[in-house]
Amino acid sequence: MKEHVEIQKQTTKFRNKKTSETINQIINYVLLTVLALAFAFPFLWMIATALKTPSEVYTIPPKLIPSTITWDNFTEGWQYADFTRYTWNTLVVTTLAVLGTVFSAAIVAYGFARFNSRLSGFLFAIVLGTMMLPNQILLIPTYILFSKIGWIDTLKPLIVPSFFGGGAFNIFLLRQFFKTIPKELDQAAIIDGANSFQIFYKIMLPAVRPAMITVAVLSIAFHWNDFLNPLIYLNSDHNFTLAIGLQFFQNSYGSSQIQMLMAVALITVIPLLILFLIGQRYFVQGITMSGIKG
Amino acid sequence: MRKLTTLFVAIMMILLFTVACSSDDGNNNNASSSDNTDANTENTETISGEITIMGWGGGNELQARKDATDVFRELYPDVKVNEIWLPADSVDQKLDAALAAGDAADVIMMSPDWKGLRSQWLEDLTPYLERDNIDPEEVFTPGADEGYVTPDGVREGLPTTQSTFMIAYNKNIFDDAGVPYPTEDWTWDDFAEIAKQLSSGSGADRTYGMVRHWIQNRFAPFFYGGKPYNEDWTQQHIDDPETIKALELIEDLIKAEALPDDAASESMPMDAMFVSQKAAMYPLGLFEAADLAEKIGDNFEWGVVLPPKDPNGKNVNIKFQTGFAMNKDSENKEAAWAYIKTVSMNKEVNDLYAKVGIPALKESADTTFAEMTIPNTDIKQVEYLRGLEDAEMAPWGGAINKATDIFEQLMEEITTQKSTAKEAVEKYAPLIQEALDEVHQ
Amino acid sequence: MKKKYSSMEKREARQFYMYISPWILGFFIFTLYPVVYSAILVFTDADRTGVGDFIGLQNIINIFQDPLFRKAMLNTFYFVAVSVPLSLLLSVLIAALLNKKNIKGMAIFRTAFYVPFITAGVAVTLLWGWIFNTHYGLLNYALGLFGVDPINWLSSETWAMPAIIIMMSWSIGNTIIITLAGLQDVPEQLYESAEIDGANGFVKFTRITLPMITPTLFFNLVIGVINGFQIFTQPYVLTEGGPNRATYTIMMYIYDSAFKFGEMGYASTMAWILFAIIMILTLIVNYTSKHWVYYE
Repeated sequence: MKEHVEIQKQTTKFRNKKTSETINQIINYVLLTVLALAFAFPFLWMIATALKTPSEVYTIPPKLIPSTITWDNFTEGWQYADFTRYTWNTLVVTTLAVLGTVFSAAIVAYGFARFNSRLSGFLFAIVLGTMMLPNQILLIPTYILFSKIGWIDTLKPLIVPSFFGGGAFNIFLLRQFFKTIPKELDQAAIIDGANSFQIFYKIMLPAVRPAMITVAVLSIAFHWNDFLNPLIYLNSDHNFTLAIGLQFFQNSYGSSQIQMLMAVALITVIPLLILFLIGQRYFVQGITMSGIKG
Repeated sequence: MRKLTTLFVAIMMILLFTVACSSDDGNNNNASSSDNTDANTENTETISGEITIMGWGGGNELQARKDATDVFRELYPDVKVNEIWLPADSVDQKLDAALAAGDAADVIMMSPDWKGLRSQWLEDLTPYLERDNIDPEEVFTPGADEGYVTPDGVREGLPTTQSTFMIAYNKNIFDDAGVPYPTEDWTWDDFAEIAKQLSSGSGADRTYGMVRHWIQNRFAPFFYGGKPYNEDWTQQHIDDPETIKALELIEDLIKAEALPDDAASESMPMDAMFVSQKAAMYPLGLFEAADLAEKIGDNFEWGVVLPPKDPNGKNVNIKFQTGFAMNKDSENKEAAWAYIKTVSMNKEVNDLYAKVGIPALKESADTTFAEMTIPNTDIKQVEYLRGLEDAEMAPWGGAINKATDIFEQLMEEITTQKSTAKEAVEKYAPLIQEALDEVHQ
Repeated sequence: MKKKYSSMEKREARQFYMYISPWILGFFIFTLYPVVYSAILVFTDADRTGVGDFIGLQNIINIFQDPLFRKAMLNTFYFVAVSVPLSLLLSVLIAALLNKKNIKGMAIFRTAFYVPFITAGVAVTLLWGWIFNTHYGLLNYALGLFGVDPINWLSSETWAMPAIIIMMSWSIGNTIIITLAGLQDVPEQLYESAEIDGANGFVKFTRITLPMITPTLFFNLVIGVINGFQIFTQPYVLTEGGPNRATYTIMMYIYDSAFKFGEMGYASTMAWILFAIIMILTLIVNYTSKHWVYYE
């Protein structure tokens, strides 16, 4: 009898745990859905606007769901400027710059995370310091520099600097992740006769894979949407990028072709979304592949 | 992993290769196009070499500028033209950088309210006009040319197009309120009266008398014959009684909710309120008339009328001008001059402009432009031409950007009802004077 | 022994310089000249093209007598003080949610948070105005459901800065992604052993998750401070610094000085003062990090 009660107690406890888990799970879903909708709302609004006719874009209060759906904005918008050419240029810049960023930032960050010298603290402060001086002030001298070496109106100013460390932000980010990897791993590898580059390539890189993906994801988004740098360094229409092209929907007096703008912006954003949708699972895969946590 | 790396390397090689090729492409294109034009052997001019032009804009306006450049190419086949056309509103930093680096374009788009004028960068075009025996007074549409000559007589550019304003009004709202449509002889007092009669409702259902357009701040000082500052930009006239009276009119309209306050207007695209019938009137620039008509569609009936008159019977209007100027450091000034002259005075070019603004050339304005109606409407473009006669040059901006900024603060205090017009003027007029003095040191 | 140690040290230093050499090269080629150029302008009355006379410390003296500089600085500090902790907190909470196991459609959820980051720009600007509109705005509509009276978000000096901060909080996608990557570094078996000890979710989060992601938090804090002080886009597109300068930030002043008023010397001086402030605060954060950041 006593035993029976004990068992019953345990099952209720188990059930309680199960129901509380279910409740937890429901809360998770609700929270995620509400927050995700809030964050994705502008995107949904973009879709709605892209499908609207000109007169409906301007209704007050704004309507989220268009009463008549038109696809003209996509076709007309795409022909408004040379968007095919801009897409190609953006693709070239983004691919090369991101490759440069990911690899060179990893190498430099590894240096800062694992090796010491008298100046390492000071040099790292300079790395961070380059983020603290407002870009606006550096814009003109940087232009002068690129102008002197004949890079104006080429894609080089948008690509080449990425190969030299990939920017302070990325160096700092990867350094933080390298630092979380136990030093014992390096030492074990050294005993096995590995040199520092082998450690970097075979142990460190796989271990920080989520961070590497993060750097890639963030810099893809940055280069894809970057407006200021292409605007400053590019002159000819056949060199322009998408971010510049989208601005052409705005005329000199502040009014704009909103619905076409949204349609083209949507087309240009979708590849990034798909890329992210595929790439996000590597955030999780990082741990299982690294094999250092077990 | 190795496969991935190989793939990456392969992609990189392909991309690098195409980057290298595409820059070659550009050169080839240019070379072949100049070959083509060489075939047109009508070299009436001996001007040759290479120039770079820089301008900005969007839509039809930008297209007209590109077409104008093609006309120039036909006329001067030996000149190689590099074109830099940028989106509107994003030129400041780029042009500053290019000027600092000494590789700015030979010909630069320039408006009188833009900061390029009265600087040390631009070539005086008077000698060129004299040399070619051109009298601007004869050639240009009256009022088109004014903004480009400084009080010292230095000519810093030639005009291409201008735009003025009409007041668009929603006939349905007028009918519902039982207010007769405005006529050309109305004054700003009439306007205020009408605006108040037309507003009704509250909160989200409020209908306002007029939209708050960004042009309003530029119009304001002129309502009662006042002005923001004197001819040579040395003395502010904000604290003149006429100007204060005009600013008080704005204050009054905001208080009466005939004009939307900041909250209701700033967060919406300005034309949205008119298009969705939340405001009865709209200051309609020529540059946006066709777009607005398309947005309104068949939703309601509307008309246009010249803006109200000041007490002296002068139609209060603002004109925006766009033209081109020559970089003082240009290495091919002959070709640069030829370009400026062509896009400013050539008949074919000006006929192209007729679709996007009032052409600078009198002949085109009086014929091609005046005969057209605004697309999607039955509004005759000649109405805008009539507005040009009395129109004031768009005040503020350019060399006096700092004073402009202070004036905007002044207006903001009035429109957010932080201060009365009088208080705001007392506070800011001396600061505006200070900023003007700084420019003329 | 001592000699051997120092040769090891030398070897380590050599490797250090070898690995960071791309950055050093890049610094000398692309960064050094612009930085020195702008530093020199501090002591000149340079115009928009960088041409001007030497005027000594006059710019610095002028700045400390400039009420607009003071106003812009105060606004910027206000923004940083509220938005940095807020976005840190939000990003940790959201990242923790996105790191949950056994959630169907996680890919979609994660992507939703990434969306703001890639749809930035013109498209979004137009939308935010509408969200904050007093009469027709979405936010006031939502608040109205809870009985809150309409707020004059953009035309009230009190509410404009909160509006900017709300808009900023929406674009923390990158911080969320970074935190999410940080969460992946927390070894699963730590949770398992904690569960055996009977720890509940809250204890697991505060005792395991938080300490384990302090390197990421440290990163987000430093970057938050650096970027927070340079807040520009949101007030520039949403309020243009208004109403009555209530959201006018130091970066907007630097931009206006340089490109609107053509006072590059003055703008450079403000930029370097901003640099000094950010640097000092970063050093302070870095100093405290010894006490709360755990590297393995």
